[in-house]
Amino acid sequence: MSAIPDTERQRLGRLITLLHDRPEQADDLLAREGLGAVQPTAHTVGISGAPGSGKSTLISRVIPLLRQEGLRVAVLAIDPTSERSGGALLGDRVRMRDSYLDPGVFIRSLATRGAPEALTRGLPAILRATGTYSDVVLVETAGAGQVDVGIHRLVDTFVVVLAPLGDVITLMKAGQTEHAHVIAINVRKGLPESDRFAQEARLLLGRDSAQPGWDRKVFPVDAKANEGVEAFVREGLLAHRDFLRRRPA
Amino acid sequence: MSEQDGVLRPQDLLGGWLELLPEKKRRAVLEVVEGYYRQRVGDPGEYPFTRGIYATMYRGRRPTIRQFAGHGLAPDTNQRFKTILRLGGTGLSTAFDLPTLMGRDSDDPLCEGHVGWDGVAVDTLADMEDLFSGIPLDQVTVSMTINAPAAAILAMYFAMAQKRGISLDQLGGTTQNDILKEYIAQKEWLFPVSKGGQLVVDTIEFCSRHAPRWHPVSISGYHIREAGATAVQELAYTVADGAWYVQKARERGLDVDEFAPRLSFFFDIHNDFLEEVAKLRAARRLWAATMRDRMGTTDPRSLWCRIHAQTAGCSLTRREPMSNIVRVAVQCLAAMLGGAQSIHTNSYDEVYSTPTEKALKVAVRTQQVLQEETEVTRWVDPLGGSWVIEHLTDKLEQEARQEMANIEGLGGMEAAIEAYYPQRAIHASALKDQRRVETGERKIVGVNAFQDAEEAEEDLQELLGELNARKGFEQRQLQRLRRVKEERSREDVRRALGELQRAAEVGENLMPSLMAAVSTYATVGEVSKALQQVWGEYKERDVISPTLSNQELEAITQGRRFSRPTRILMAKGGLDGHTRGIWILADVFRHMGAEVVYAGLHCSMKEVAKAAVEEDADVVGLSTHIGSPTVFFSRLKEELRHYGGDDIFITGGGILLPDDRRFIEERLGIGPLFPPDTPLQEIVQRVASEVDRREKVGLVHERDSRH
Repeated sequence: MSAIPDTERQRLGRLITLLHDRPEQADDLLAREGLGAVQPTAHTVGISGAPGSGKSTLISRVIPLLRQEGLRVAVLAIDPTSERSGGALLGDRVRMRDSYLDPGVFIRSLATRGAPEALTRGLPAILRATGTYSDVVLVETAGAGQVDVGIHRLVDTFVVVLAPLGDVITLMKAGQTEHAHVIAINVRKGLPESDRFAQEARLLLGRDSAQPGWDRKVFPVDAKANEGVEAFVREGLLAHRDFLRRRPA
Repeated sequence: MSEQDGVLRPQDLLGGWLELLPEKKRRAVLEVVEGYYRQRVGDPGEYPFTRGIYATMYRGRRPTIRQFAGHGLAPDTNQRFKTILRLGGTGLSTAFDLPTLMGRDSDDPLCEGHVGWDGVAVDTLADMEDLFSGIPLDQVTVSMTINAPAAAILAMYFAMAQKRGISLDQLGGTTQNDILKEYIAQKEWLFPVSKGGQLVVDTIEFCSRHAPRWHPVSISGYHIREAGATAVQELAYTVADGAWYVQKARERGLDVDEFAPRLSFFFDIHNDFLEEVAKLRAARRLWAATMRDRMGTTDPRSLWCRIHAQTAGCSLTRREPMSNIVRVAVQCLAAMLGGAQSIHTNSYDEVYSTPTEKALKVAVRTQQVLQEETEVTRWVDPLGGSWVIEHLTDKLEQEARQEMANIEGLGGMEAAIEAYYPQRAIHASALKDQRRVETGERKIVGVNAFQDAEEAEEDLQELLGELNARKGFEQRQLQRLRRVKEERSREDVRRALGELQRAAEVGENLMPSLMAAVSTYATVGEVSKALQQVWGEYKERDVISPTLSNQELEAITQGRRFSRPTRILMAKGGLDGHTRGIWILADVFRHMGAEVVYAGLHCSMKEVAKAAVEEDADVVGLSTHIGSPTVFFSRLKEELRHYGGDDIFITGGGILLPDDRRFIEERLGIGPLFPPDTPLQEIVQRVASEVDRREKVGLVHERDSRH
């Protein structure tokens, strides 16, 4: 399977720090790394959802499936910076334990550093750099609120992960799902509420056209039990990627 | 009368008081006192067993002196067992090394630096055969501290006995086999919670049918307490765990009285002398009530909370280790006054490793002096009736009941563990206690009180000699394992593991197929992996969120801040699960403005190094409490070089012998390193200074400072 060479891994790690620290100099920094003119070909996926909706766990299940396709996978996992101290505790990585040693996987934790919409400073340039060294970039936003949809402008595929709580109609009004190309309902086995919610979501959210030619897809998954993830990846993420590639520019 | 049988009751003391009352009131008062006594306290051997499970207690049977031992290879520990029996020990207790406890083989890459280090390495039946060679298994009771892979290890023990012609019904002993407290506190797990529990019930069921003298589970508060829990939490979670096993076994169709008489408990005995005596009394009362009221049994043998007690490892100090002898003696006395059935006294050098021979002897002698010379064994529940003891017993019981109700409110223990409730509660208590020590509110002689500046290292010379001799274990065990693997039939192993997986898939009791598998010399690791393929594995899912207050963080950091968002990767060495220290530091560093990444438990140094480079860490902090620190730090350095992270500042801490520390700091050029008693303030100042220094001399990565 494909790998990210160790020298590139180290360079990318360092470059992300520079772009994160000094987003205003992004063009210079990228140029200096010889990436100024390079157009990254990686498929970029933004994954957003409320805190505790299961984003990291879902990603941990998605990585091995993408690797089976021979794709090099980079993860940018964003967690909040503490307003008081300016520091951060970045804990998403732990959930991706199974992929730590995979030479084709690169995992980077980023703090929001005061950026809005559960994103972080310098993200567009970081995405570009990361996309140069990998085939798929998965961006996990910090636990997002209903209005934090900014990530959809930066990525090819926008995924929203929903915990099966409350009712779907309220969610529809809220706006976050409006931009989603793919929705994952992270169901929990044994919760009767859960199945009803997934059913409703499929009916109510899955009909809309998210962009011309692509109808939004809704997948019930159980990230913890690793169920339904394969369909989410193949019929959701990869299908949307193929759709974008087939689409005339 | 009562003085002769060693039991005094409140009535015995009322004589003088009653004389103060008019004749007709005496009877009424006596009735109230007797009624209260019967209901709340009870005679020894009677419900609710506050005063002990037997009427005669130590007058009938002294507590078993059960010393925990194990190091190196099976033949080394076998020798140690024979020493214990020669000194007059009356039971054996096996300490396995961390790889065995984690269900991994000695040749697993993650086990490097752990093999034979803090217990005996057991990979296959061949090791089990050597471990108990020449020991009369039908006469000595054997306890085994093993949890996640307990069913496999018990299967090995049974298979070994059968090979020696001893039938299972002659075997007496205990497997710790309490998986719930692993998820709660000790973190030595293999399978998802429900599957781990199912294996425990398999052993309960199997033993009740085939090995009736075996105690399949020792429900353990010890590790919960050692992880920083309060006495109340220890009580509540232990009794709740016990109730969970009983409930699950009943759901399997077992009759309570068929297995409950073989359940036993294991408590920690800490420094708060009177509280600990009261704790054991409260434990008996809680368990008896739980079994009677929730499980509906009245068979006294099912109501008994049989207690094994161990003195508190976490109360021992690295400084002036000889003072530990005093701590252990006092804790042991508390265990005896609390009515424990068997006791392990810690050795004064246990903070460094499993005991040396000399320290072991002192530990055994401590129990013998208390039993033979102090006469406390003449009395049953000698502190019963003390106002303080009765008050504390009631108080602990009430508070534990409240906490048990909280657990029930979350849907029972399994659900509470999934929700991380007990884990968080213990972490919060541990933090609070650590702060009490740091602020001097709780005193530790020789550490934060009465420090002796001239204290030298020579106390340790003997220990160092014995520990250095242990460094060759790993290679020897690897050779043994290789030989066993060459000599066994690969086909038999494959077939037996396949059968085990089939049995796991259909949900059969796994003990028979485990015994068949280990009899082919399948390794512990092969068995664990086979089951994980069917069941999946338990994964750490959460970072315990910080609980230090802003004020406390300020007191620790004293305004010190990193000049920029310094990136710090926090990691553990190998299989060690002691995370309290790094979680607290993560919180402290974050407060100083760092971006702290946690790598997670059970990472190889290769995984840590790769993560450090991807995270572009300025600092890697490595914590190691078990295993060989020199192996971890040199491997980390090597792997960082491989991944191109040679300029990363490596620091860390944990249990470090002076020689090892010198080697790591001076020869490997790593550090500063911090032993466990280092005040947080000092760590803060030294790490921040080193980060600043590196920045000034341009050692850190190119950053804002360049522009």
